[in-house]
Amino acid sequence: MIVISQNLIPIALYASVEIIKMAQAYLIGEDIEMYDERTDIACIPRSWNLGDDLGQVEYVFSDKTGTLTENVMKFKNCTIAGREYGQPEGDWAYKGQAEIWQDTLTILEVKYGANEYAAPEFDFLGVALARTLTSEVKEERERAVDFFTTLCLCHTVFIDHTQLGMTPLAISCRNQSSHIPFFH
Amino acid sequence: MYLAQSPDEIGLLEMARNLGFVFLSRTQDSITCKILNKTRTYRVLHEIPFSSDRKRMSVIIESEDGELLLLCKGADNVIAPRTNPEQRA
Repeated sequence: MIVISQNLIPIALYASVEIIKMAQAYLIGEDIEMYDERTDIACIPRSWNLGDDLGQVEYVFSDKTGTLTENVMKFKNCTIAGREYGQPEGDWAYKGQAEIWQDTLTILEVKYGANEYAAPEFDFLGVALARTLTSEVKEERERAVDFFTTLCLCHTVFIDHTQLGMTPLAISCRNQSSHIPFFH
Repeated sequence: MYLAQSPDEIGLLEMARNLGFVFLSRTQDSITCKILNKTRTYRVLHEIPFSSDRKRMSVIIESEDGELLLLCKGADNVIAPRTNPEQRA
């Protein structure tokens, strides 16, 4: 068929269309609009010849966080009574992640005693939250306590008894948590 | 080891545990927690499970001293309108 129609469609056209697609794939890969600074990854066009299909896309469906983020849920922020926690702020903001978490645990320990279940390392800027949880102002403290009491009581989580041999510390090192901006 | 349908719940519980709010066990009608080094058992009177329509779940709970609480947890766009406007940032 190609041989018959070569008078109408020059064979070279196939080659040049391929080259055009290659160039398009290159441009997609270099597109600064699709570059993610946090992960240092730009768009990766895995196929040269899908560029023309892209123009036919009418609907883009996306799932909630989880599918694309490998289901790793990290607790990053929370807002309690209008105050946001988990942000770098105050006199401790310059410290390292590990040190901030140690400070967080120490502040809690002084008031409430050691928490044997706490993870020794945790990626959360919790000093402000720990100060609120140990605050002398009853109303302020109780709101934060209520917040986490609710987290403790309002859920559908079960304890997996088959894994009871594992210490809680070893489990918390999995470091899974979540972001929930509002709560009441 | 916590088991849940969604990893979000495990994440939230692990955060709570790290701060001293430890979920210890659950029976059919009660939840035992250690809240800032005081172990307490709460009776779960009713549970409204999460649904994608409501985008939140709620439990009605009775504490040891007989206090009744309705606790609710859900998506920001559903919870925020239900909060006290004076307390919003």
